[in-house]
Amino acid sequence: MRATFAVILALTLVASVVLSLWRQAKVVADADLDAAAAYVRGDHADGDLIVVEPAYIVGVRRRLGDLPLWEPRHLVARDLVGFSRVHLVEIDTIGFDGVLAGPLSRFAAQESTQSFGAVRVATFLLPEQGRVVFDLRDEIKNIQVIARYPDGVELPCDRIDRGRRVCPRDSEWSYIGPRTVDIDNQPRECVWMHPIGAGGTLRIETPQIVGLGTIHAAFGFTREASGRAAAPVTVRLLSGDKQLGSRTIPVELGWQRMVAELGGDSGVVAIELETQNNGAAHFCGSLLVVAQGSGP
Amino acid sequence: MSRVGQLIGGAKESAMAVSRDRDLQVAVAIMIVSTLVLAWTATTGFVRDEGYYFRAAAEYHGWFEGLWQNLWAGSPLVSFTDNTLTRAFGYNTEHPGLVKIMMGWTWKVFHVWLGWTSHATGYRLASIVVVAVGNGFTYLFGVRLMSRPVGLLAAAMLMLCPHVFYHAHLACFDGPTMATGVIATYAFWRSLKSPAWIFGAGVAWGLAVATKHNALFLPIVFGLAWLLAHLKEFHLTADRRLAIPAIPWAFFSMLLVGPVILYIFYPYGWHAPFERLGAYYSYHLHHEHYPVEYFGSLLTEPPFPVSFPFVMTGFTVPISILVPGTIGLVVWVWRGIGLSLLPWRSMSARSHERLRVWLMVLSVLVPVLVIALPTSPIFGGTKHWMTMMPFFCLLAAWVVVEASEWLRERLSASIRFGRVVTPLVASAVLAMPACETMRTHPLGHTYFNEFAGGHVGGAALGMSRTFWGGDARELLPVLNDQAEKGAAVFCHRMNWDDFRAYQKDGMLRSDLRWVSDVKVASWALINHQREYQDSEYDVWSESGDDRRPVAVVEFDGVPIVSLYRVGGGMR
Repeated sequence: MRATFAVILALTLVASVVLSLWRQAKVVADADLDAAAAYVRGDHADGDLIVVEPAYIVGVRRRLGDLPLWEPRHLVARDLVGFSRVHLVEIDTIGFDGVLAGPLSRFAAQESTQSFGAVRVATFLLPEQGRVVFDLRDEIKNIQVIARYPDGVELPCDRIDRGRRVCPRDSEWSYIGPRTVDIDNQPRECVWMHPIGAGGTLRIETPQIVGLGTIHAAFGFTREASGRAAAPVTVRLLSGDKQLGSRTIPVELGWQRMVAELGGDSGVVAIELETQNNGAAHFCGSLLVVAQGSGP
Repeated sequence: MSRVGQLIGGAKESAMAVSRDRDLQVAVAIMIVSTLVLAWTATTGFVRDEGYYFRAAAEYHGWFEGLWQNLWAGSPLVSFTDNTLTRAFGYNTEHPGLVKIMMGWTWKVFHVWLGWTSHATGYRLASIVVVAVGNGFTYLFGVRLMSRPVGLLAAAMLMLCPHVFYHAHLACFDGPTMATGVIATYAFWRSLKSPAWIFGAGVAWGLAVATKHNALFLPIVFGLAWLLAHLKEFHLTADRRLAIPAIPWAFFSMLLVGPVILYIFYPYGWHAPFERLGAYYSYHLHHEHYPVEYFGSLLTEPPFPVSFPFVMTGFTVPISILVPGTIGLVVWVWRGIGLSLLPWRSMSARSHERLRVWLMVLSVLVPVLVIALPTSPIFGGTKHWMTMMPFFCLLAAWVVVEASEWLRERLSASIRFGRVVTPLVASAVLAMPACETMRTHPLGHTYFNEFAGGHVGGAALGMSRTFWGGDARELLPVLNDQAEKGAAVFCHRMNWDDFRAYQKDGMLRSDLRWVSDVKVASWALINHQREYQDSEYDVWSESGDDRRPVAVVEFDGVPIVSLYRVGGGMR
């Protein structure tokens, strides 16, 4: 038995050294990150998005976090509406499995690839999607928000506080404003829109949008609320008085998308939210209007 | 006995006494070295609970000062009224007072009187000393049950497990409960042959229970070990009565002395022991569950996976300790089964030998199995079953020493200095754990071993990176350097007590303000715990387009704690 111990111990010591060397070899060098960051920054243009994989390495955001940058675990074409190019920064470290390059290459054309040691930068050209004529995140000051409370009172959410349109009641959570939240196990840029209690309606109305085309909307509970919100939320998309679509968002992890085509040259788009119980309804959504083309 | 026989017997006893003295000296040396090393390296950040315990220790110590004053005033009994005791000991009643009382005294002696330590290290010194004493007893236990080299190597291994080394510094109870566990086990073992230790076993267990409730499982370990060791001795007599082997006196001692010691060190309960001690234990029976990330899932409520403590141990103990420890455990379990349960072997071994094996095996397994129960709380990284580690290290050391003995026998013919083989093998085994402990200090609780792939592997597997909010100490110099005068700091998992403790020890500027809301902060510390990830997104939401942290504590690129400037300006 002692001999067996000795053999296993020897193998363990060898494994310990080999695995430690492997671990160290897989640590991305600062010089590689610096070079990759310099390249991306030099090539960056308006409409570009930097996508980083894997999300648990902070080096890219430390260097490029002032530019549009996303650290997703998964993506689909509609996540990229509004962008013209993606710089996919891949770090070949432990656990990296390249899950983003596959979907990207299915709907985008790879423009170039550069390697900087363990860091690879692939630039993808996204298909022509048309011009974004309205992004709810950027237009909080220009929208109208009406809170119709269960007691019949209808009040505008007029007060602007730190970029948020705050409703008169329950102002701590009842506001419309841009936030980054964990929706489907990854960060999402969206607009916080906690629904009013049962019997009430929250209505978000855009200003007159010129150059109507396609509406890309998406909604979901935050990850934390997806396990404990009291009831689903029903979302209606409207153009004037005409309902473009309606969807009930279940209490679960997910980013539920709605797409609608709009006719005419200009118009007003509205979102209405209702629920039977707004307990822990930490809810977020996005609304983009693209002037031409149908998007990816 | 002949004259020669008497002489030989006398010489043997004398030699044994000398070697026992030497063991005691080695144990004391281990205690002193461990204390010095731990005190010297007590640069770990203040974890959430330490803030509470610092305060509790100060308040508890205030009672002794009050007692001294009352003695001089001729009215000592005032200190023993329920009002006075509740005022002094009524904070943090969810843990017994022993370690907190000690913390108050080490703070008083080493910080206030001698000025040798900071405030925090003064408090921490108590648990550091208890851990160091426990490490000395790990050696003694190894000597008694196995051999000197095993005891010595195990004591070194214990301090070179990064998670253990981290917890050994904290003014908390996880290090001390590990230490008092091994002390009580040693005392129980000694009591089986030495009547003088029977009372000692009761005292040791009492001190263990007065340290933390984990010690309540020790009688289960001792009882099961005794039962398994004497299984074959239970039988029906001719008159159909059950014959039970002699029950060790230590159990009676523990039953009588243990509660008395717990009572002494729970002054809050002196006037209502059943009600208040009952409330203390009830608190832990119904402890809330904090979220824990495990293989990418956020576990929030029972049932928790049975695999959790086994997998976490497998990923957080350096593999040159993990592998021999696991082999040792398997061999000793098999040995125990062979000695106690297999009929053709059981009668050949003495019950003392069987008890030795089962005591070791169960001391490793019971703490893990308790946490493996689907309803047991699993927050707190690996600290809740850390009480197994001294025994696990003993088994690991046993395998290493056995292997090196085999090697020495093979090599003794070919090399002159066979004596150096065991130290050389031991050094090889300890080299990587030592490197990893140094590399990860003072954030040893974030360590993942070679099997997991280190910090990056742990993050890729979706395991918890950190917990308890103590990591931000590393970033305080940056904050001190860059924050505006009077700036509000969102401290995330660092609580107000810890913030004040940093200020008190001069590690954080006194003008900086602790705030709990990102919206009113101009700086934010973010601990990278998945369950609190939303806080970092809140910082981003408040910071506009720039999501670059000002500074990050990272391992191999994986962030542990980040410092952000929020909103780009003073609030």
